[in-house]
Amino acid sequence: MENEFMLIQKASKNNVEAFEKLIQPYTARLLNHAYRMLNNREDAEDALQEAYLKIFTSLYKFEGHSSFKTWAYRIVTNVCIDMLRKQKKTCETSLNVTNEDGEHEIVIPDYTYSPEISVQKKSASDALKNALENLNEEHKIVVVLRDIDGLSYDEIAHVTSTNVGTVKSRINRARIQLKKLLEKNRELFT
Amino acid sequence: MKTDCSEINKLIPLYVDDMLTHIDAASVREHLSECEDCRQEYEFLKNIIATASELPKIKPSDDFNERLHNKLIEARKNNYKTALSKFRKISAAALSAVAVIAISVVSLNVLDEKDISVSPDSSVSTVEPLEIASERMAVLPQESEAPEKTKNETEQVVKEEKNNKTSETEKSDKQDKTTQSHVAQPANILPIEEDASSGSRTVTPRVSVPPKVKVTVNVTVERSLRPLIKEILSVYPYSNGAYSLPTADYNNVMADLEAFGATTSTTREDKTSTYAQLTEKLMTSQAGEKDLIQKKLDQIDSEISNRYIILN
Repeated sequence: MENEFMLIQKASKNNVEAFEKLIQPYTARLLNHAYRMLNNREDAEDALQEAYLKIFTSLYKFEGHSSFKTWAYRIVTNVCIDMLRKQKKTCETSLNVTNEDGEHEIVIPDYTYSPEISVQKKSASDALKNALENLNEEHKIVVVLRDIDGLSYDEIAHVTSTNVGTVKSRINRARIQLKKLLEKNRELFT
Repeated sequence: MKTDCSEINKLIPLYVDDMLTHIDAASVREHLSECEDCRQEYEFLKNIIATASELPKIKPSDDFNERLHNKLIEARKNNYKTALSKFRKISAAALSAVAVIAISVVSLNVLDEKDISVSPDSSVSTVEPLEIASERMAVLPQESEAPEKTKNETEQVVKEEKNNKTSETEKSDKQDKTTQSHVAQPANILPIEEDASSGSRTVTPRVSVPPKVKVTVNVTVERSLRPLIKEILSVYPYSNGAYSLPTADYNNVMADLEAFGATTSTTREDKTSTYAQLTEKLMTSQAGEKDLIQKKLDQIDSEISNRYIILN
């Protein structure tokens, strides 16, 4: 049975079969990471496949300073961020309105207080999923990596190309923000 | 001194993960034992985190792996084309001519099945990723001051026909003189040896019955690209100067090599006279009989389990 190091060596030389063996243990986790980042199955699969292609074509650059796992998480996360930013631009463009002075305004919908959302909040997980969508990018990444994916603070530091101190600070602020967003649904979390 | 609740609430998010210093953790622990409000905040956050860890998981769709596989195959071809483009630029700058070096006979080649790059003429001593190999090529010493050559002028096409041998001879002052047996008939190729060190892609051909037809493909490529071609072929068993490819892989590998600018010539060695006789008969037979003969020829071809690749 080939170990991960050997598979990386082979896959870095354009060996597709070795690459497929290399990524197989990670696909489920990375797919769910992308799913929680993008909140859409099709987008998550597209993002993961795009990330895998990036990994395949740049595997020869992987120097082993971090684990393959954190390296892969980083690439998938970056692909997800790019997709979210593109979606946000599209969303903002389509929501442009002209006020009475002829100036363009960007309307950003606040889903937290949408009546439709209130009706749909049947469970703690639904409330949490909605709250995640209202976190900013930086906070969402660390909450997904830590509380959903279960990565350690060290691993998160590698994924986000920061250090443990920065990760602590972001997680701290992210969780405070998450509590605020879920305050009115507190009874679901008792 | 009683710790302020607002200060404790700021520490709870990291206290949950045991990421506080001992002193801060002790402060929080002590406060939580005395303050019901803060204890509720702590439980609230703990339950949020527990809910997050239990969110439903999704599985890849049924065709996820197949779609990815197809994209990876395409990416691999693009990788080769990119490397080819890089090598052409490097070759034009650093090398003035292409040397075609035959490695088809054991006496000229010291390669073993595990380390395909051990070649007396290779300037690359180890099998390397495409990117690093291209960088190495950039520092190869110039072999001559001859002007830049185009692909057609620099590539050596190995052909069986005698009229081409003359033109090849004219170019020989720019080639490595070790070219020989270019109409290679690897009559001494032994049955395929299984190469356990090549990893999962090493295939054992179906040789329960000796093949009736032996198909040999001579592959010629620019000297600077040989290390890359060897990488492509390295997953297959190598014996007596030839790589053995299962027929199922043949078309894909040939497409890869051609994307890399390789030229090929194929020779058949029929173990029985059946194929030659049928071929001759095909030319003189009538329409109905032609179909039957062609079917028979196709059947013989379909029984070819392996093709042998000789890298020139």
